[in-house]
Formats: sequence, structure tokens, C-alpha cells
Amino acid sequence: MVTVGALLVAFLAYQLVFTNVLGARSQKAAEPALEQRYATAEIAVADTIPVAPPTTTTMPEGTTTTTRVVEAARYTEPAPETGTPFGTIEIPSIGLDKVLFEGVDVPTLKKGPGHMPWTPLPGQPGNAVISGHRTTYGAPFFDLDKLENGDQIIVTTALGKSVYEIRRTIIVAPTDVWVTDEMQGAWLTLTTCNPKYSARERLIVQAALIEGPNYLYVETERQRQLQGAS
Amino acid sequence: MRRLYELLPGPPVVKVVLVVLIVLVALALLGVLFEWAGQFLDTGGTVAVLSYLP
Repeated sequence: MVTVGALLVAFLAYQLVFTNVLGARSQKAAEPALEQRYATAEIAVADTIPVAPPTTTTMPEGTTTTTRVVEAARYTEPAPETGTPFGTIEIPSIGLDKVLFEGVDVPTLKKGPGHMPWTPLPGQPGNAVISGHRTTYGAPFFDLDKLENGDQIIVTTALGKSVYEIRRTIIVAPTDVWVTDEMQGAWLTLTTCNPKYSARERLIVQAALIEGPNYLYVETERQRQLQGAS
Repeated sequence: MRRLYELLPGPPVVKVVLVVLIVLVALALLGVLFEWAGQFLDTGGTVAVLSYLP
């Protein structure tokens, strides 16, 4: 009985104290590599779309003026390697500020929140998915249940700052992979274990892009699709 | 504990080395056990089809 009790205490100390020390160390150790990425990542223009078509106006005196086409660009950054840091995530309303890593494998998630490699990077059109521990390894998403619609999530990558606004919070089963499905516009989906201290369900927070280097492109594309549909 | 120590073969130096080795192996096994059990507490929050879940 004493041995079982001691093992249980050791287990809880390992999970709730030791792994959090490891998580904090990984976050600190990632900072130089992140700075290096910010300094060297080459930003490219992947695509452009016209925001407004050119218009020609004939003046009373017979002269004509033509407005030029205003274009929205979609900027991209190089795909990060698995396990490497590529940005930061901040959620001011719950005091979260963590380094983001590429990948959702077990070793990567021990370092901090991880981006699902088969979804777009944050700041890009589509549904960028980020997973994170709830109670162990730095517990980056410990307070995710306290978020409310309208709260902001700021993701910074080599591309710049992308600001998202929370639109919905749901609880799903761990196998509900549809939450990672492609979406129209630019979305950020955060996933974590639920309830606290259990991996029984997943807490999902979904937020829409409201500001950032690709916002004009995303919004223009959305308007075009809406016009095409009507 | 002392009786277990006495059961170890060889002179005292060998016994101490064996104790250190046993403790290290026990700690490693405990780490593996704790990591495995920790998956029931917090998997990292990712969603996946069943075969990819721990």
C-alpha cells in the first residue's frame, strides 16, 4: 500500500512538475533557432489576385483617366522542418505566450504547441491546426476553456503577425478529425485534451483571421467566391 | 533493503556497482511506465484516427 502510494505521488510529481520543467527548458532553448529562422526565411509571393478591376473615366474635356489594378498578394514562407520552432502564439486574455514548433508527434509536442504539417501554416488561407498539451510539458493550453468568442490569438511567424478572432469553442471526440478539414477563408484551429487531467475528449477553439500579411488576399478571395456563388 | 544488498554476489565494490546499475534500470523503467501512463492524462491534444492515438 505504501509502495503504491509512493509510486502514485512520484507519478504525479513526474507529470505535473518534472515535465513542466522540461517544457519550459525546451521553450527557452528554441529562442535562438527561432531568431535564426526570422532572420533567414525568404518570403515569397505565391499568388496575386486583383482587388479592383481597372476603370476608365472620360473627363468632360475628353481626356480619359484609367485607374491601375490593385492586387492582393499571398505571401508564403518556407515550410519548417519537423521538430523545429517557426513562430510564436500569444493569447493575451489568458496570458499565453509560447514558441510554436512544426509537427504533432510525441517528441515535438513535449517542446510546445505543434502545427499539424498537413494543414496550412498560420497566416495562410485554409485551416491551420495547432495542438498542445493541457496539463503536462509546460501545459500551454491549460486555460483554453476560459477563452470566449471575440478573444484574439496572435501568431507571429517569419511572415509577420497574423491576428485571429475566436469564433467558436467545441468539445469533440479524439477521433473527430473533421475539425482539421479545409475551410473557406483563413482559420486557426487549436486542439487540446479535455477535461483537464484526462485525454477522454478534445477541446477545439476555432478563430478567423482578421489582420495580417495575407488578410487582404483572403478577404478578396472570399468576396470573389461569394460573388461567384450568387 | 540490507538483506537484499547482502544477497548480491561478489565483494563490496561489486555489490555497490550492482546497486547503482539496478537503481538506474529501475529509474529508466519507471520513466517508461510514467510516460505510458501519462498518455491517459494528456496526449498532447491532437486529433487523429484511432490507429494513430496512443
